[in-house]
Order: sequence, then C-alpha cells, then structure tokens
Amino acid sequence: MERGYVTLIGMSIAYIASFLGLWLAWYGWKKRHAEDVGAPVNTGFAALVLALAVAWYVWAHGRPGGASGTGVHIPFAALIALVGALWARWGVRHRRNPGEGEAGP
Amino acid sequence: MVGGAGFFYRLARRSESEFFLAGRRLPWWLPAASVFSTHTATDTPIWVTGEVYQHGLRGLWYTFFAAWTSVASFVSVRIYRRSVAFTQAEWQVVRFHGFGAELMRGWMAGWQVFMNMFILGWVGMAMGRVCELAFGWPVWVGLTIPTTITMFYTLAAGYWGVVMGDFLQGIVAIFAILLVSVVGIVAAGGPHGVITGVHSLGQAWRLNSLAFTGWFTGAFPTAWWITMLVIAVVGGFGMGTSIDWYIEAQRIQSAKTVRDSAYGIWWGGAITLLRNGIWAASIVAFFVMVPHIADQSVYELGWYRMGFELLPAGLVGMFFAAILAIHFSTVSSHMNLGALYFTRDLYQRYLDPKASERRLVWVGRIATAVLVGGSFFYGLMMQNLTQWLIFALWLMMAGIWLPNILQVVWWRFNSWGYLASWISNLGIAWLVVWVLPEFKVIPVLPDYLQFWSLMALGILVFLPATLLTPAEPMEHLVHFYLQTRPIGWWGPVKAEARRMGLLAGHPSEAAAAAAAKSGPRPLIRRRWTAEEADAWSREDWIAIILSPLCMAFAMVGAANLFLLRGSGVWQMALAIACAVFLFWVIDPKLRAVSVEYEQRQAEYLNRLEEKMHWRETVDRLDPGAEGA
Repeated sequence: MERGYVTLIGMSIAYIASFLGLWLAWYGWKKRHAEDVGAPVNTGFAALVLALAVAWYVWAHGRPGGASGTGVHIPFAALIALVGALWARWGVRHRRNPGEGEAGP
Repeated sequence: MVGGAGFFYRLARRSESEFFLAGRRLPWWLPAASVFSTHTATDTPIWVTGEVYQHGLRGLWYTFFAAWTSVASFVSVRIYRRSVAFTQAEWQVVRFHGFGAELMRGWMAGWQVFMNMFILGWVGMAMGRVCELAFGWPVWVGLTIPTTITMFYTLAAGYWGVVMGDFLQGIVAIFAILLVSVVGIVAAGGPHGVITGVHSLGQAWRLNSLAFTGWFTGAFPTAWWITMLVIAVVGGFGMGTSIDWYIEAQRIQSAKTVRDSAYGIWWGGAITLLRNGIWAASIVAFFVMVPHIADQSVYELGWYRMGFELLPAGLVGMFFAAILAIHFSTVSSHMNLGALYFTRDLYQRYLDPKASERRLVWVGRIATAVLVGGSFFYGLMMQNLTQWLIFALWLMMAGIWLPNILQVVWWRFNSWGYLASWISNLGIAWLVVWVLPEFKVIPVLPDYLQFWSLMALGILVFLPATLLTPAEPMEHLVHFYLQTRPIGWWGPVKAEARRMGLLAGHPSEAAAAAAAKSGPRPLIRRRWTAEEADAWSREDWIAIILSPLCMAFAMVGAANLFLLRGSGVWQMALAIACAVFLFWVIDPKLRAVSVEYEQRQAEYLNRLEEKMHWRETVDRLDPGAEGA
C-alpha cells in the first residue's frame, strides 16, 4: 500500500486516542470552571427538538410520494435540529441556575 | 516471577506511588536494569539483525538512537526528575499553566495509553512469530499466553514486580545474548573465519562501521548519519525522542535521587548499545554462514535461528527461557506504564480526583487487564499494519522532535504552540510523505530529508501559534525554573526570580565573590555547594560531550572486540577512559544537587498533589526559599 495511506491510517489511529484524551481534559476543565462557561446544556430540551426533527423526517419520508421530496426534508429536519442544539447550548445561559437567586439561610 | 509477585504485592498495594513508581526509592542499578530489559524485546533482535545483515557493522548506527540517553542523563533527566511529575502528561501541567496545559495533559495521556497498547500488540506479535519459528505454534498462541502470564505478576505487584522482574530477566537476557553470539561466531569459523569469510565474499565494507556511500547518495549517505546523530544527541537536551522518552520517564521518577535517575538512564542506555555491538558481531557471522538471503522477513530472524539451530538441545530450553524473559520484561513495563497514564492522568485527574489510594491501585489493575485485552485484539488485527504504524509513528516523532526539546529549553514556548505542533503534524507528515510527491510538487524524499522537511514545516505552525498566544504566567515560570533548573534560554525568568529575591545574583558575580574568598576556580571543580551545583557549568558540558563519544566507542568497540579485531581494543579502551573521566567530573556535582533537592522534594510532591486534586489556584512562591 502507498506510504501516504500508511501514514494517514497509522497516525489517525493514534490521533483518535489523543483526541479522546483531549476531550476528557476539556470536560474535566469545564466541569471545574463552570462559572466561565455559563449554565449547563439543557439536554432535555435538545432531546425534544431532536425528536421533533426525526418525527418530521419520518412523516415527510413516509407520505405517498414523500421519497421524492426527501432531498428537501433532510436539510429542513437538520435545520430544526441545529436550531434546537444552538438554543440548548447558548439560549439557556440566561435561564436561572437551580438555587440561584433563592434566599440564603 | 509470578511467585515473587506475592512478595511485592504488599508493597505495591499501599498507594498509587508504590504501585507505579515503587515509592520513588530505587537505587540507580534497578532503573538501569529496567531500561535495558524494557528495550530488549522479542522484536529487538529481529530489528537489529535486519539492519546489520543489510548494512554490515554500519547498520549499528540505526540503533544508535538509544544514545539520546547519553546527553539526556545529564540534562533533561535531571530536569524532569526535579519536576516530580509521575508521567510526561503530568509534566505538562508542571511546565505549562491553565487550560492549555490541561489540554496537553489530556492529549498526551490519550496518546500514551494508545502507544502502550500498540507496543504490547506489536511486541506480542513478534513473540508469536518466534514461537511459530521455534515450535510451529499458531501466532495467536505466542501472542496471548506469555503476555497473560506476565499480566498476573504485573497486576499483583505493579511497578515493584516490573522492576524486580526486569533485573532478573536482564541478567538472563545478557547471558543468552553472549552465549548465542559466541556460539554463532564459533560456528562461522571463529573471529578469524568470520573476517576471512567476509573478505572472500568481496564484502569487506561490512566490517567498516563508517562505510559511507557518499554525502547524499547510496544506501548509507553521510547526511543520514549526521541527521541520526542530531536526533539522538541534540534530542537529549529535551525530550526529543519521545517514542523512547515516555517509557524512561517512569524509571527516572522511580529512582531515589536526581543522581540515581541520571545514572539509571545512562547505564541502561550504555548497556543497550553494548548489547547491539555484541549482536552485530554475531550477525556478521550469520551473514558469512548464509550470505545470500534476499527476503527481509527471512534474514531478520537470523539471530533466533542461530540460537535454535546451533545450541545443543539442553541449551535450547534455556534459550527459550531467555526469550520469555526478554518478552516478559518488555510487556510488563508497558502494561504498568499504560495503566499509569490511564489511572493518574485520565481517571484520577478528570473523572475522580477524590479517589482513595486503594481505589486508584484497583483502577490501575483493571486498566492493566484492559490494556492487555486490547493489545491482543490489536496484535491480531494489525498483523499487516504493524509496519505501516512503525513508519507512521516514526514520522510522527520527526515532526514533534523540535517542540519536544523547546518545551525544556525555551521559556517562551507555550502549551498552545506545543499542542499546535502535535495536532498539525498529521497533516504535515501526510503532505510531505505522500501528497506533494504524488502530485509531483516534490520528489519522494529520503528519510533524512523527510525529517528536516517535517521539522521546517512544523516550525511554520508552532512558532506563530506560540508567539500569537500569551507566554505562560511569569509567576508559574519562575516556580518551574526554581524547581527544575532547566538548561537553555530562560533569561527573563531568571531575571524575574532574582528581582523577586528568590535566586542569588548573576553567576559571574557569585564566581567573582567565591574567587575573592578562596582563589581562582579550578579547571575541574569537585567541591560544590548546593546553590553552585544548581547552575549549569563547564563540568556539565564535559559530561555532555564525552558521554555520546563514550557510547559510540563502546557500541562499535564491542562489535570489533568480539571479532578480535585490533580496533576493538582501542575503541573499548577509549570508551572506558571517557566513562571514568566523565563520572569523575560530574559525580560530585550530581551528589550536591541531589542532597539539596531531596530536602525540598516533599514540598514539591505536596504541591503536585494539590494540583492533582484541583485545589491549586495560583502558584505560591516563598521569598527567601533559595536564599537570595
């Protein structure tokens, strides 16, 4: 096999492990420096939007003649999912964190 | 060893430090034996045989990369030992600061866990091939059974089991190497018969270790040789050859003092190169006996063939026991090391910083078992990929060679530059090795030119990344400098440390004051105060220059001496003279450094544990600690 493929495959395998370590470091840091990041991701809301996007795609794809319109519905469903993810990631920053603003002891 | 593991089980279970570093209290000869044994794997005779059969004695230089230990022992080992970091990943948060340092730690830990699993699979496959050659067993049997046996004592006794096993296995391995080499040379007609045979085949150049084929042409160009020397020797100033360095990092930290860690790595490297010289002599003998093998996969098993075919029946059993010892010592080291990176740098740091010592030891054990399982899968899957990976990993090392040095010697180099160099190297290596030659932009480059090209292109990435991002906080750098006393370009940090009253005045002022008190400085100084010994001086440079010369003469001299050539006598005499003189020069200084440093080590370890548990917010500097 070409040395180029060899380099790419070999080093990519090594890099996958490294990126996993990098992600773990990122996770660890953010977990302990939460004040710099804002509120945690609203996973429930993100899951709801994702479910809506999937439902839209299935409904559109399942209609008579729907297959021909799949090319339109896929990006539309993806757009819904993207908006939901963005909302979940950044929109909830402005929501109150649990316990925030409550009267102290 | 499995029985012996029970003895060390009680020691290993005490704490993470005991399980992974033997409590940091080993005398130098144990890490030295471990360095030698770990670097004597089942695939090592295959590799050395391949190079020497193809290139003659000049093939020894392909193995001279181990000479990074010659300079590193007196420079980067000393610096790293003072960092007290468990691993090279942990070193990142000692050297760098903040989020960038944390990302580098995670990156390097992930990389090293993979590397250990990969090497376990790779070495296991070599064992599988040897068992196939010797007994006709299927490859998977040789891959899995010896490694599983090793796992039992490594799980029970941790690094204690590894290092004690390495010591015993190293003795067995040296005995077997000497025995098979002598038997091989005798079978080829003795030293005189080997030399006559090489000449009669018209291959006299095989006995010349410097038989260059031109500056830039042929199979052994001078440019390649110079590149190799630069990689090994200059790399020793930092952590240039990181593919070896990360293994030795554990041996360095397990030694009881700075001096013990330096000697442990130096002797481990020196014995490894001596071993290569002895092997080379016997492989030249193998060439005389079987001179026309064209298939690499056949001739690279030459040393094993001599053992199995030439030794009498009773000794073949001993030879196989030695092969098992060689295998055990390497795989046990990588099991424990991979588990260390997972436990300390991933699990404890990011998943459960409050884990008890008992839990950490158990996580270490589970990680060891998982690594072994992964390596079996990897070894069986990657039989044909191994060559690719070795090649790819070599390229990987080429691209980050310079950043690995700069992190030690240049104060301004920061975590973002270092991370950029690691991440970009994949693209750069692919570009230089394949894409540009494929599109005829550049020709297919010889490997030494690939090294320089990768380095130059890497500079274009990491230098802007370093200079466009802020330097590490000065207070952090001052702290790092005072703790580790790195060599190189640290002027602004030293100046800041002096301004803060944490470091004595300029060395020339101190020297003038000392001269006024006790007369002029002797050419070779043998009495040191702790403060004087911390500074880099001409004694260090004498060691740095003599040490690689000593190792080169020892390696080539051993090969020639085994063939009873006159050049072998003076080469070995020079190697011994260099070694005696350099230790006479450097030993008093290392003793002074060690005594002073041991007094502070507990404080540095406490600070490291605070970092480990995310309790550290800022570096705290204690004015007056250095006695301004």
